[in-house]
Amino acid sequence: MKQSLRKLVISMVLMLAAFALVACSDNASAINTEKPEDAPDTWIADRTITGLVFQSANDASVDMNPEIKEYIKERTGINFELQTVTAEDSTEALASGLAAGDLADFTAFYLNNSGRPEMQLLLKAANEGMFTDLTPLMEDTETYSKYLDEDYLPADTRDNIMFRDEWDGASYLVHMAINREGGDAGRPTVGGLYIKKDIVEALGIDPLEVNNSEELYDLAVQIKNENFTDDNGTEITVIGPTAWGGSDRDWLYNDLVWTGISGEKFMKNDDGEIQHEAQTDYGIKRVEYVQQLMNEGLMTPEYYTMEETRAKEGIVNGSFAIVSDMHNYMPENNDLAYIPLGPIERVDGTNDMVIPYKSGYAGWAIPSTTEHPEHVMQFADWLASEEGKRLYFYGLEGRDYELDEQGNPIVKQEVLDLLESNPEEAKKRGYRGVGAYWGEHLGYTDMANEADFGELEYGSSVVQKDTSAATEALELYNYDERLENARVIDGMTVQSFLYEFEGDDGNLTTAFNRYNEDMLRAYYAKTLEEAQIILDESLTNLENNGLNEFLDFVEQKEADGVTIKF
Amino acid sequence: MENLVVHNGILKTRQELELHYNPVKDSFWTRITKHKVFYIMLFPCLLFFLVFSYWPMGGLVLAFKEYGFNTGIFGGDWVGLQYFEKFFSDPRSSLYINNTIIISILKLFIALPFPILLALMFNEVQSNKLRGTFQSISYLPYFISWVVVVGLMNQLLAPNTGLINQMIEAFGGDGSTFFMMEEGLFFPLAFISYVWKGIGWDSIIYYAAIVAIAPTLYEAASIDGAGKIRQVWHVTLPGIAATIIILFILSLGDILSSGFDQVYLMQNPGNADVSETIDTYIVRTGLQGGQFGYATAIGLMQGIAGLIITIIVNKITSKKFGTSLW
Amino acid sequence: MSDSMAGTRFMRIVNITLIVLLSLTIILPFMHVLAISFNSGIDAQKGGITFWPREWSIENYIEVFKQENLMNGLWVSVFRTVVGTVIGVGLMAMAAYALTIKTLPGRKYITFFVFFTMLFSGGTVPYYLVLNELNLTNTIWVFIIPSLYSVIHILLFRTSFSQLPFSVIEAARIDGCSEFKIFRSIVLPMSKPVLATISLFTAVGHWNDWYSGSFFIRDPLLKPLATLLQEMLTRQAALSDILLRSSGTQAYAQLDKVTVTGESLQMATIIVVMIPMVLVYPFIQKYFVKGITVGSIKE
Repeated sequence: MKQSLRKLVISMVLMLAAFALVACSDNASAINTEKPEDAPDTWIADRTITGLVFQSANDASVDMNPEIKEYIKERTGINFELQTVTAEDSTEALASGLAAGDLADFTAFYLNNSGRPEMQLLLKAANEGMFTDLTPLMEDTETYSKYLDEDYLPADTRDNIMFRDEWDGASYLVHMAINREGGDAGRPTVGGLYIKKDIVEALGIDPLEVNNSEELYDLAVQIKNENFTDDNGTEITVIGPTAWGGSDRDWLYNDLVWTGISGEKFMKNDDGEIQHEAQTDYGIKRVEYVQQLMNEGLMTPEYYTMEETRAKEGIVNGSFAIVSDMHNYMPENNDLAYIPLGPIERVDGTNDMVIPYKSGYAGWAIPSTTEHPEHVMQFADWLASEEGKRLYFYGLEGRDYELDEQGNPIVKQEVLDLLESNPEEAKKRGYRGVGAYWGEHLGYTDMANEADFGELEYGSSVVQKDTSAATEALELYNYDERLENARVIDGMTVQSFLYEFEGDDGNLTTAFNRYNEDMLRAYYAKTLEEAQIILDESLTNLENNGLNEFLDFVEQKEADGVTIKF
Repeated sequence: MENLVVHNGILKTRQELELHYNPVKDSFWTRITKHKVFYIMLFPCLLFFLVFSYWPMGGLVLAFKEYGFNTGIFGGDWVGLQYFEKFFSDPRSSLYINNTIIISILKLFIALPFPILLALMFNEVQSNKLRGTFQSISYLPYFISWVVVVGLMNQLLAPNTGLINQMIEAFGGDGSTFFMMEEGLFFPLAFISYVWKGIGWDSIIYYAAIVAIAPTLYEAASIDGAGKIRQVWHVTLPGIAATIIILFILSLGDILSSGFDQVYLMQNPGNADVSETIDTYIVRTGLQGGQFGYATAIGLMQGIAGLIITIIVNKITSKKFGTSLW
Repeated sequence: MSDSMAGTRFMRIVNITLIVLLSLTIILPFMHVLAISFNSGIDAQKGGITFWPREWSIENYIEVFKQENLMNGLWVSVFRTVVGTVIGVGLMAMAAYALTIKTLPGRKYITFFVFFTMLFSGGTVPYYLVLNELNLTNTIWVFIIPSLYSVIHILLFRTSFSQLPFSVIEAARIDGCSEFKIFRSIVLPMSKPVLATISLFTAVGHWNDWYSGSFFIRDPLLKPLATLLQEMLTRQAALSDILLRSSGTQAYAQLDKVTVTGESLQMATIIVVMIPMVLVYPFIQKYFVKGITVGSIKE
């Protein structure tokens, strides 16, 4: 009996092997590097380049317009394909994708700065030899070769993401969305707190004069006492969540958050020591403030949890007197029912505009399994060139825009009309201006819209809507004046040293994440004492996982001359 | 009757017949060849489980190894019990285990009678059409994902704007309770929504088992003067007992995994102390950080616990009810 | 006698009342979903729709059928459901039948080999790596091959087959029928209830499964309807993800990129995804009249 079982097992294993062999048979598509005679100068190779994108659901924009694909094929010989793994959390998707080892010809991911959790995964993968060294490939390019210039990249990108000391000049990760010029604020944007215009008028206040949490509280009480109603006649909610749903954004209580502009909850105390918020009393101060607002009915209890649909619903109906985060281009605010409020000062007492020298939010890499990785680099370079960018931003000449004498694209009126009347249909034309983002992954860098296209905003040179809500909000905010006085800063954030400090281990990273979750729990604790216990536990957890050693490590870095931004 | 067959004009019992076809003296190999057609039928099945169940089980060594993207499952360095120590040194791990067990008990034990009850109730509906309609309605929720269900709950139970709170306010109460945020309501809400979503679908199999009971048994009971309730108690329930027990034991393997989707979606800062389970913890700290070794170690513990509990319960039911899985 | 008649009558009324109440808790939320899906999208944004549309419109349904990726997903779903169910049910029935043959040498071991997989598994990560190793990921077969067999369905089949009248099968065997023929022309036709039930379970499992489409598939053309719907519904997760990851105004460019699907369009998609399976049920229902049972592994 036992023998028969063994035979059975052996025969099954053999079958299995045969099966696996068949399944693994090579099906790599052909790459033809022989340039056809009639091919343009921009021709790279006759091949398919497939990109695998790890981003949150719905954010990857993998669909491409066929005519645009055709144009790319004509100009470069490349058949460009994008695929995506979706998960509720992009880092989780990235982790499983790296584990599977099958990363297509290139892979793209979120990467705001080197302090993000995905950075640990990417460094682990790079150190294990999963990615191709890009430095030699970049040398032969037009746009990406700029990355090799000493002054082009911001410090964090250069020293922590791309050219790390331990890699000796090699680079494995490309950071994207880098501006051509430092200190470029890009699209003029006013974000943060907004308040209902009619309430401002009824109360006769100056919304820009509300600059700290006490003043905001007084304003909230004032609004509450006036018994305003929304469009449906129901009582107004004084402080609502962000326009994208509940979240713990700093805008509302900036002066109670232990951070500068990085949002990482580190600052120097009066003695010049770097401290985490858990080591200060700012956490409990914030809890006290939030609980006061909630208990007095000034803030919606769903401030941290409301779903986006209902948050938008609230804005459309004017149900929130104050929206805790939105920006001046939101279609829901086309009638400028909401105008900018504040901003609230930071913990150091400033509230001026601060612009990062340059910053990025995504990145890509070429797996070491990719054949002819130089094709991917050349293709990325073409996409980042003027021709590639114009294709990605403006679509096809003749179909979507015409060129003026200076060589700037003039968007066709019919496209703008379609965008206005049927955005879904317009999107099918397939480029950034109408909401299709396929070019973001390889081509969106070295940004300077004004110089490249003669306008900052898609179509803004055609539509002369001086009175549009977005522009008006800028004026109300004194945007130009603030921009003139803006500080430009560069440097590394504290968390960007985490990997160097703890390697793959990730315990302190987890502890930092847990602190943020504990803050939320503390807001909803029944009493202040209970909240204090939660925060104390969180501090113990941070210290047990090496917080103090880490801060010493960072202070040493600073002493060694590294610029740190808080 | 069924155990008797006519063979060559002689009435034989099944056992005798089997003996006839498979005399014990047949060599082992002959018996194998005689049955080769059955092995052919079984072959794809065995191959399937070998590949998709046993092969991944080999991956469990990851619980004791360092995972590297380039070294894969088997190539990394041994780390011993490091991951288990890490889990138990987390001061909140006992909290996660507790929460997981509570949710499991709610789902496996407390929720168990509901679909059975519904199946019994369906069985009492006389009109086929009516019963069919009700059955179709009852299993609708099975087709919507937890995202939708929890979304509907959020709407229904929202403070001030939710339907429930508006009703409370209409009756003069305070309509600002944030039900989803209440720690004490997490388990009841999780339980109710779980039963609501699965009751119709789960009742299908019990209903099918009820229908399989021979009508003669009811007639006999009826002649003995048993009323409806007593018929259910003495005929229907014993008739489906085996089905209930087997399905119950089969579900025990999941005792330490409380179902990810629902709990994860229902989590919020107010109920974090009762809603963080082993499953949500794995995803947060293991999978999202690429710490596969750690995630696998915790998964292994869940699996072993499930296995042990299944074996124990199987023993108990075998003794008490005479029904067991194996 | 009349007392017990009245009692029965009373019981029946209670019974129906309870069932109706349960049905109401199901119908009302669905009315809500339907109402939003039949309401014009822009108007639905204002909220406040309960059980009846405020501004009737079928634009959402038209839009669902106009979306190429959804229609493509529909075909993927139909393909995997039909092919997966037909092949899966056939193979499972065959294996279960072989396991009812008491004289089969090694039967106990084989049974244990199969059923043990229900009690213990290797976990998600190794499973994923195996699928990848077999080059199944990112092909349509990842929906079909790894879900061909289910232990509990084999168990249902086996219990049902072992209750078939032995004499009929034995008579055919004596007549010289091949085992495959016996299986096809005697066992299967006599097992319609269990076949119908397991086909329903398998088909619904295929139709509802969004998980494999989101983790094992990258090609947008291979994503089934359930996965596309899930992706549409979880955009809140994407937004929270972005809100968390960047401070200040840096998040806006990313937030604006998240595809926004209106609530009413979402609800219409939910309904469209549900309908095929809801329609299938009544056809299967008539087979339940004969009933099925589950027995234990040992016999």
